[in-house]
Amino acid sequence: MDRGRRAALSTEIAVVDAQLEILQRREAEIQRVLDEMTKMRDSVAAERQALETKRRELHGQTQPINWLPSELLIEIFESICSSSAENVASSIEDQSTIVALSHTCSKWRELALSTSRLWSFIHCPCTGWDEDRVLRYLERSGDAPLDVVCGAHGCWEKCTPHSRALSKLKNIILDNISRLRYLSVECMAVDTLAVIVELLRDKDNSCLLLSSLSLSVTREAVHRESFPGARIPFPESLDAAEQSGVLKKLKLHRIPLLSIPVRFYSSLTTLDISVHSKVLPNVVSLQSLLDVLCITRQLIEFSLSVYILAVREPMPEMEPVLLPHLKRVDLSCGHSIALPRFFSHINAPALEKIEFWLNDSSGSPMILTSPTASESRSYPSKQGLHLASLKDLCLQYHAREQDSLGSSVRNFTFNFLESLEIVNTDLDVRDSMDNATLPPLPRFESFFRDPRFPHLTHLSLSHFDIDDSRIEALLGYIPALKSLSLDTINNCMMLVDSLALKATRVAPGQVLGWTTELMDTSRNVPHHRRSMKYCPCLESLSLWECDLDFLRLQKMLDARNDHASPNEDEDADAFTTIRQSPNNTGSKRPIKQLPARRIIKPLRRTKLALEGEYDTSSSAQSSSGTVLVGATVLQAMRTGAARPSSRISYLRLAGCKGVDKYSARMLGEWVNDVVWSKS
Amino acid sequence: MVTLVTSDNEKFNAEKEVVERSVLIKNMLEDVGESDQPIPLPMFLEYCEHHRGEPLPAPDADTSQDDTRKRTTDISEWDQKFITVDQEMLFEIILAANYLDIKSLLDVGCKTVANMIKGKTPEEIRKLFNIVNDFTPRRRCAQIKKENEWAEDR
Repeated sequence: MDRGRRAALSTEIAVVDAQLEILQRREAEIQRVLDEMTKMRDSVAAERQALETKRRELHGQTQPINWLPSELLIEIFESICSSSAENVASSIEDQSTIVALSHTCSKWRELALSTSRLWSFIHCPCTGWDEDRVLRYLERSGDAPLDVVCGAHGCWEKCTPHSRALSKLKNIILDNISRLRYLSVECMAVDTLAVIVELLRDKDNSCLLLSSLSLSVTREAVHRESFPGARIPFPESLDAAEQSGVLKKLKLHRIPLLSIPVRFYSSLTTLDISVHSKVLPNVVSLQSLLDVLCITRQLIEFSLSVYILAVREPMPEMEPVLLPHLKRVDLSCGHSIALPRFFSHINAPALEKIEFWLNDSSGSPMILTSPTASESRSYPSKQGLHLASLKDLCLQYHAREQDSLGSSVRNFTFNFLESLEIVNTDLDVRDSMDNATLPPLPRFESFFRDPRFPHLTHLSLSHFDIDDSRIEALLGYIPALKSLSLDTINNCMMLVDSLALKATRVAPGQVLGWTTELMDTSRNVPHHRRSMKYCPCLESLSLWECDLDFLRLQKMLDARNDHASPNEDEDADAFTTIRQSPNNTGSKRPIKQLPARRIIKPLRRTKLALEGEYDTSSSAQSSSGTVLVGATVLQAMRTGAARPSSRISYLRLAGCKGVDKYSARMLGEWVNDVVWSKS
Repeated sequence: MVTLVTSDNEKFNAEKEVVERSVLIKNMLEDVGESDQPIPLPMFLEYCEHHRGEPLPAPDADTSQDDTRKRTTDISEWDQKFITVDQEMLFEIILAANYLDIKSLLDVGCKTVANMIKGKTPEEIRKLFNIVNDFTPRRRCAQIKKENEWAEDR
């Protein structure tokens, strides 16, 4: 290359270098600008985000839920966990809602996780529970009292005494036994439950907070040998620890009595024993039951479901077990003799309610279905059968058992009953569409020792036929009735007709049987309004699946609610005993005038009772089946019948033939509240 | 009689027995005694009037842990009608009941909200109360779901 050419190239390179330098400088400048722009963009973006957050916060504050401070949100969360742990399905539902809450937003999650009481329900079904998750929930529950439910809904099928699941469960219970508030274990296998019972028996495992316990064997046959620790307690021999338990509720299903330690019985307020199952044994010895009751002096509610309540013959003489706080007893038995048999051995002065379910005993093994001779002799003197405090009685039985139940019920007196429910549980009858098969309602005179219920305000009858000749007698025994509920009752309209009858007037100073004072008292009500003959205080009438007649129903309401002309009564003879049956109004049957001045002398015993010379307690203790008149009952009957008439203000018609929706609406003219439904 | 004055200066007269269902007012009346000076407070006379005479809850009733789970979400018919209001008013009532220390009204309010929430999914709860889902990133949601799948898998 010549020298000239080389110089030219050097010059050109220098020029390019200079250009490159310029471009690099420009590029650096652009990069600087870009960096600045990026910085500015980031700054603007950050500012925007901050403003967006602030806007969200401000907007959030406009949402009412965010007005609440954290403590009120927690209060609401705790309200969600409202279900009793005994209602497992609801508790699981509540727990699910709590989980949903913790997924809603970070604030709620923080609050939910920091509230230990929200996580205190631990459910361990037989399959599908993960120990890690249970442990996590246990951790979240902190020191809160725990409700542990194991194997509800018929689970624990595969659980055996040596299974891994049981081992895990034992560990959970043992690790948290001091904060257990409720424990429920339900399993098929006896041995599995025996493991849990053994765990509870251990005195080192102190259940300081355990207030409710439920143990249930669902399938296998149970024998006392399965629970070797069971022993008969002697209250005087119990040590202080055993007498000062904290358990309030105990439910044992097919678990031998006294399998769990005595300390769990001493403070019980609710005891539920159930051995009523097709799986044998389904018999409870009365003596064992009394042994248990001897140590449950705080009991308020007692429920026993047993096929047979067995006694040894001869039954040793013993003082009735005093249960001073017992208010409610639910008995479900295969034979009605359980009723007097049980109550003749307890003394429950505060008892207010008995619910008795008598199962159909047909097809049951041959057993003694009547009281033993010594039992029968002793019943009349048993104070436990004279239930002066009882206010509520519910009898549910298969109609086939009516006679046997009657013979048991006749041993009792319930003079202060306020509510009575009699239900026919015969499924054949209940499912039948034909009311002609309904069995007759028991005659109160033969079913009860004293058919008169002067304080009865609520009566419910279900699935019976009421003989029309017995209706007025029935109504006459319940003068204070306020609420009447009839479900599938034959001859319902005859009863309705009787409710339309007005009371008889008696000339002042005259006497007409024991009801004379009632008649005289009718003078105290406004002159234009006569008292009703039956149940003057009736305020509520509910009719279910009954055959009705709209016009007769309307007429009864008209008569009772005083829609009739005020002068109507004035037109009638002031001192007659005209039977104003709606059935008779259209007939030509002559009006029957009873001799208003005829004096009916009270029976000797009645008279003595009235004069206070007759010891009413002796009447209660009389072994004869005769209905004896006590002064208090008679007085109460008079008082009840003499009350001024009330209006029927509530009428419920459900699935009744003869009154459709539109007719029911018309009845609203007479009644404040009419509820009609198709079924 | 006690005179209550609302925040917009409306005055209401009410019997002492009625307004004393609010522990706050009761305490104020005890501290200042009965006077003609009005007490500036929002009004809940209708509620208190309806529940006049009912026993007031014991002061330590809410501290018992044992009873927490035993509470029910049942609300009486009257209370239910009283509390059937829009969300804004419902939360106002809860706040006021809290401020006035009317335990029974606070319970009714909380139970009402609890009943609104029961059985709903997180998304439904957010929609109901206009709550923003601030769980980010998504991975966190997945982690939460994993943590709680025991209850969800039931």
